[in-house]
Amino acid sequence: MMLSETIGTTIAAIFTLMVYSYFVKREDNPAFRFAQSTILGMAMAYAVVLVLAKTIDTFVFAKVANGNLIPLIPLIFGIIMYARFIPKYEYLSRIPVAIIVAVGVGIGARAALESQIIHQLLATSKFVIFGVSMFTAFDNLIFLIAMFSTLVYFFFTLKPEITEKLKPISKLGRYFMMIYFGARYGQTIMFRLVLFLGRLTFLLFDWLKLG
Amino acid sequence: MASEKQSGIYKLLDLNRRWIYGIVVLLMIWALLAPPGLPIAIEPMNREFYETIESLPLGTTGFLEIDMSAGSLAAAGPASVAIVQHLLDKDVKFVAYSFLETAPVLWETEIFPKLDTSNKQYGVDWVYMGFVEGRENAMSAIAKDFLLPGKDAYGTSVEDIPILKEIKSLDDVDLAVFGGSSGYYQEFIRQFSVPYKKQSIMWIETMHLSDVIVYYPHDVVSVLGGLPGVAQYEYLRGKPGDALVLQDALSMVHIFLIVLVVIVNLLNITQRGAKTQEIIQK
Repeated sequence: MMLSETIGTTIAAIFTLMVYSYFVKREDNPAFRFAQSTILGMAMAYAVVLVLAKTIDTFVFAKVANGNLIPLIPLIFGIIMYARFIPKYEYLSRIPVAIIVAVGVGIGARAALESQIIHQLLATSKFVIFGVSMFTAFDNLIFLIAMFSTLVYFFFTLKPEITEKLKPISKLGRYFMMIYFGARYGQTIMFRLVLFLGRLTFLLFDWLKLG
Repeated sequence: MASEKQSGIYKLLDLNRRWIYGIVVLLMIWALLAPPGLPIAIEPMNREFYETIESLPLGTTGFLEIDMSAGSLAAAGPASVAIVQHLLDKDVKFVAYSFLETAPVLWETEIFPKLDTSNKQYGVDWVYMGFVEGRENAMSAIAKDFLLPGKDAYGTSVEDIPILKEIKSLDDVDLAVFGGSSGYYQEFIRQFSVPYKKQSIMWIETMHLSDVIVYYPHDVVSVLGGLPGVAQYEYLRGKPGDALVLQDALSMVHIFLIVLVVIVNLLNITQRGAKTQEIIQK
């Protein structure tokens, strides 16, 4: 292994251990704070350089060099965003922000309507309990009960007398949500363990060369 | 209850969390250095993912989104390697993109060196176009025109890349693949799977599995979930990799945590029962 790789691996290992020193000492931990600040700073610097090098160079300067001047328009809007640091012209920075939000909402909303609402409704209609095997019918019935009761839980605008009658269904919906959140929590724990496993693998095999 | 001093086995209820962390670390180290080789069960959904790629006809073309961060490399790395290698082995021609800034570096250091591309030619059988900033906006634009960046990740002009003469947009591909540990899975489904009605398969981290499963199987035909999914996928491919070893360590920790949860809950219930009896007797 080259010396630069060895030094890089050692630095990465030291920072990893500095971050995990949080488990030993939470308050006033200079090692953790130093590692945290360094990693955040480096990540930000990396992102800035990458955006400058890959995005502006590829999508603006390269195209302008080929005679296409249109990419200069979004570049100018991007520069105008920095007007927020000049109090007298701060209002100008709202224009590019408005464009970003509008484009994002336009692109996202149209697609979200189709994928997250219409397709979900269509898929729900396929959960039938007749004409399928007993196991599938039971599965689908549980799904329909869970879906319906969870929706009822979020009915806040009904008359109080109706809400009172729907309370048992609403309570059932709450239990299903608790099951979901419990499963989600378990998945999150599993994911965090995998993250830690990755770091441990790096320390054992890449740094200490134990395997 | 925490303020009372526990006695005997009930001391477990006041166990300092550092003991749990320590045992978890020791278990992981033991499993990594001396893998116990725990049996592996193949879940139907993971088998379906494997068979979806395995049954792809000759001439299939694909689009890959390969996004990963350094932190999630333990699972994302083996997943990306296994999926990309499987596609190459099935002679699927694909165009790959990344929308997360850390992905290109990891592609170069963690994925590409582990691939067997001996009978494949870059630029003819596959191409990696690199990172494009802009998240969903960028994804929407790239879906319409793969040639937008003007060059690939290595600076080669799109004019000089043969595969991009056949595959120019998402309309020209048969399969869309998401192999990422980024949070962009919703955007992938919104911008690639649904609008273009492409057969989509996804590897997703465990944490986001419950978010993606709602799209299965109507929008996403098969899903591979987390490290266990990759481990099973490697097993099905007959090419054991890092995921199988890591899965052993993960399983050991899970067994320990389940046993701990059961014991502590039983102790909690019995202690409450004993206290209730005490109050009744008084």
